[in-house]
Amino acid sequence: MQQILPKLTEYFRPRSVATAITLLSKGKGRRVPLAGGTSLALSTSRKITGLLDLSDLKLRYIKESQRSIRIGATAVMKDLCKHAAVDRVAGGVLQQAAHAVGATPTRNLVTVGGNIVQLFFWSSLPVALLALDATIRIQGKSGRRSISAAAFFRSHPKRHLAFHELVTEVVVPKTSSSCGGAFIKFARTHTGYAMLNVACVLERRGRACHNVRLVIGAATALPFRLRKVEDLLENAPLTPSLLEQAKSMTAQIVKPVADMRADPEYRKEVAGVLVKRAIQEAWARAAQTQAVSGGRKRRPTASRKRKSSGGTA
Amino acid sequence: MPQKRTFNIVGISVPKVDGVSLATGSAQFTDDFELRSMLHARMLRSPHAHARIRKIDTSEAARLPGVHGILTYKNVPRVAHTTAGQGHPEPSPYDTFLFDRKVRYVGDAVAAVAADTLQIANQALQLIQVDYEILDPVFDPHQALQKDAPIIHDEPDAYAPLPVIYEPQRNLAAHVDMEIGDVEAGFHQADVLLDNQYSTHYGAHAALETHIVITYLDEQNRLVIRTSTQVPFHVRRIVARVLQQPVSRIRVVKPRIGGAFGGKQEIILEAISGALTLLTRRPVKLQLTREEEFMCTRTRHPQHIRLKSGVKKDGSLTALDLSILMNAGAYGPHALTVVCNSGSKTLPLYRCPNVRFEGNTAYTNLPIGGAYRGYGATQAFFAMGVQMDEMAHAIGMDPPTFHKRNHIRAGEGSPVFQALGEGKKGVEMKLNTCGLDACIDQGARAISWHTKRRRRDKGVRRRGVGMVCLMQGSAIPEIDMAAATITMNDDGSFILLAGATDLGTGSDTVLAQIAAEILSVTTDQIVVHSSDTDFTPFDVGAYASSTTYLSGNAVKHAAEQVRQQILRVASEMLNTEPSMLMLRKGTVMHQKTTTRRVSLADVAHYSLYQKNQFHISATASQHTHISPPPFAAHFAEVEVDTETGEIRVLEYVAAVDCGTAINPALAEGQTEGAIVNGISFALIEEFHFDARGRMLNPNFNYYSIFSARDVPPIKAILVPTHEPTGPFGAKSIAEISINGPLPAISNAVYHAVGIRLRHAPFTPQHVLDALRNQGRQKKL
Ligand SMILES: Cc1cc2nc3c(=O)[nH]c(=O)nc-3n(C[C@H](O)[C@H](O)[C@H](O)COP(=O)(O)OP(=O)(O)OC[C@H]3O[C@@H](n4cnc5c(N)ncnc54)[C@H](O)[C@@H]3O)c2cc1C
Repeated sequence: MQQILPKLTEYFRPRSVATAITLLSKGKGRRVPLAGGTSLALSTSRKITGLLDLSDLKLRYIKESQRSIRIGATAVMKDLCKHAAVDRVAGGVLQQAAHAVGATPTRNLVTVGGNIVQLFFWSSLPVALLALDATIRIQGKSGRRSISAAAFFRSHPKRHLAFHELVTEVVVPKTSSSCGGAFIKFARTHTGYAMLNVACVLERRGRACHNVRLVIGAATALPFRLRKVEDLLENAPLTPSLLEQAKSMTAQIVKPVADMRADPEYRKEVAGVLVKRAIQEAWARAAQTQAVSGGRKRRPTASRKRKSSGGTA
Repeated sequence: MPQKRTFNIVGISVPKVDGVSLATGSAQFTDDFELRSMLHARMLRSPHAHARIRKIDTSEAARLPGVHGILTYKNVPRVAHTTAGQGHPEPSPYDTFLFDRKVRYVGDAVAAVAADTLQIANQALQLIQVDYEILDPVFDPHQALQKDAPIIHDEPDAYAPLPVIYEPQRNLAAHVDMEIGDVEAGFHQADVLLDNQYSTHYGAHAALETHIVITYLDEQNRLVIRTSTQVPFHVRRIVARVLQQPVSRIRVVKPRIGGAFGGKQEIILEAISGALTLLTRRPVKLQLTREEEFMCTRTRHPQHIRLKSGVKKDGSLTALDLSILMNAGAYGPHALTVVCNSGSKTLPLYRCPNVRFEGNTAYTNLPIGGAYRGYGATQAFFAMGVQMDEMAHAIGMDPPTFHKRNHIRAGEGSPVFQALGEGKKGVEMKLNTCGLDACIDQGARAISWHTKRRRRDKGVRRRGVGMVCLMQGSAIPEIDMAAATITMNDDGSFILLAGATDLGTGSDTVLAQIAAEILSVTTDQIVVHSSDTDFTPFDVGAYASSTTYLSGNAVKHAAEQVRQQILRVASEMLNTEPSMLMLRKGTVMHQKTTTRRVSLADVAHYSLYQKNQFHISATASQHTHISPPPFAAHFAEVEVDTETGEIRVLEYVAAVDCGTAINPALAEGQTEGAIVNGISFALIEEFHFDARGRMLNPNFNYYSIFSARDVPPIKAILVPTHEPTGPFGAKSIAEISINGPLPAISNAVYHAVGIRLRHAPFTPQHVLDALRNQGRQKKL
């Protein structure tokens, strides 16, 4: 039984991002940001001597602009789950991913920043953010930078984030109503760690899909895009045989690392099934969005709903 | 039909007597207790599955400031014992020593350290030098029984205290067999023969509170053991023997318990902590981590089961032949009795003239099996329940009809009851009650069996329904005993001292209701204490579904005696015969002229302060010659995802005959809890081991269990019968329902997709493989 953070001697609660960065810089890597604390609370690292509580940085927000949704680093999963604008992005894929994180008490604590920086192979949000082509905003001692989710998750974020850097915001582009999405977590229980995660975002134009983005998580250490399958689907009519092709192609591409709960062979196969289902679900959601905004009768209900839930944001 | 009886408090779902304290957090668990200068203990555990300790050096650890005591095999008495908290002499082999020169599984006890803080204790563990001679391990029970297998218990001083078959020199921890009638002849008479193999897996109790004990010396230097246990009196007896102390020098206190499910019927920590207290003369706290809880306490014994049966076209059974190979793990607590129960709690359910049973338990270098709700019946009912479905299918009969045709009925006995006991012969027993027909009917109706059975799904996700019939027992006949004391306070309230141990089941409430019913008061007038070996009378403890049936009867008898004393005092006060008086709502009144009355407070006051003083009080004991079985019919509706192999339980119905439900809400709670536990075990729970026998997932991250969100709608239907030997007609309910999910789900899956799941757990991968094999066979 190891002690939690045995060398911990300092605790800070800065009120501005600038102060936070100064404090981190002075820590020379021995001070780390404290967000939801759900993973730090289990850390037995002997390197960490100080914690920088992010809760006074006013980064817990979800802001909607014309083109995008900006999510502050300390917004928690629960915030994403109940936000109307988040819900409208690509058929609610982000909301679904946030909802897949643990149980209610966990979702009340886990932050967006913490979930993407402390990337585990089964982590949920990174999978959806890759599919949404999100941007990650980072601030450090030499200023601000923005990088794509693709770049952020190319290697483990803890490897490429400098010790003085903070993730401050995640920017998710808004999508049109013809865009649908789906996130599927495959686990033993609702709150359990995923054995596979799949996210799909696509646009529906007539009978064909466009701009398909498919991401697989929990098969390997880092989530990745299924580019070949995306290409297969691009501009093609979504027929049952195309779906079957996507399924078997996925099973060929995915090379799961060992997981005691199931054999790699099995997980490959299921990855294919989940990809097929995610595409179907995303497609169906895209259709629904179209139907709702296009259908005269239902428009008043939809806008009223939007208004009232928008008010709580 | 039993006539309808009216009670005042029995049969009503009164709130739990400890409900408010549990909900508000004032309830005192073992850990809610601080003592001055208390030490914290940790254990050093074996990294090897099988090894001999060549050398162990604790000197460096002992020099670490803050370390106060270290135990190894060198400084504790060597007393062969069993950790199984059972009656005496125990039917389990004496194959365990507090510490030994040999370690037999990954996690076995090597040393214990008591220090000022947990951190220091942990540090000290790292300073203990152990030189191991690594021995070949054996992990498979079949291999363990082979001639050339490594011998796990080669120590000469392991023995069985009862005259039972025990052959450690060939890794045989227990053996039992019996034959009734002529099984071979029975097979000849059959129209259809079935012969299949089944297997069940390791399972963890997963109680929220891990094993924990606090030991200290009282003002007379007696050893006090405050422990999370189901069996305080067995703890006292076994610790006394192991530490070579007189029983009179030990007191065991059971506070509130945070879950047990059989796992705390074991004396795992008490003697170690006690030895540390005797060594250091200081209070000591020893609590297991979750990892230790998974690896080093007890589990559900895995079983390999072969069941052969013969059935005629008309549905009558001609022969049943059940043979079981059980994996004990490294030690043999309950090694005999669990496997006995696999036969004795399943075979009598069906009328069959020819029955054979053989059970063998083998030692392996894996975690230790022990008592776990269901106690062997869970494993065997998987095989029995599935094979009954296979038989019904083979002869083209609807399962409910098939079960009704064959199950035992009130007025009937079974030779199996007599043939199989717990470490000795069983008892002859004729059933007074059996509500199984009504259970089958009501359960079938609740799940819409006949409609759903006709449905055949074709899509990716297919639904099916399955059923199973179950029984268990109520206490161990001619072995278990319970006692209770009731005393009257000056205000007319009562104190109930129960040896019975409420481990979260609600038995304190049930016992209070029984006393309150007899004494015509409300449960708030009964103060319940359970249990403290210095103050509460003897009770074997909470196991074998015995508390309501056995301890309940003890309470009832004590209450009846107290009632007699109250009437006698009142008759003196009212100047009449006791037989002319009755007790109603806290008042004793004359049956004819009800204005002639005195309150219970008046009676108490009179008896304590006024005339012919004595303390109104009584102690009663109860034992039993029979073990009336509760019965149940379980129905599951599932949906099988044929692309991923996932099984989802959509609905679960359990109709249970537990006699009279003293507290229906608690009885339903026991049923629902057991079913959730059972479904979780059937579908997702799994121990993973590496090639060297180390458990890979000793945590809730990777040993998943169901949480509230995973639980399907469960409907518990209580089917009343009246068991004349039970308190107010009650039988047991605690264990029976955990036996249902494995077979009911397997049978429902067969209905849904046509595959027979005979090996648990039914993980998605396992199910998908089975679907593949089925596809392949169809093509051939
Ligand atoms: C029981 C349980 C179940 C869970 N299940 C899931 C699940 O199914 N799916 C899932 O995705 N997650 C799940 N999680 C959450 C996941 O394991 C992590 O605990 C969580 O994502 C960490 O977020 P946090 O806000 O608590 O971060 P913290 O624990 O506070 O921090 C984690 C790390 O990130 C760093 N960090 C935090 N914020 C920033 C920032 N803004 N900039 C730079 N560095 C930062 C910290 O310094 C630290 O090193 C679960 C957690 C628990 C406890």
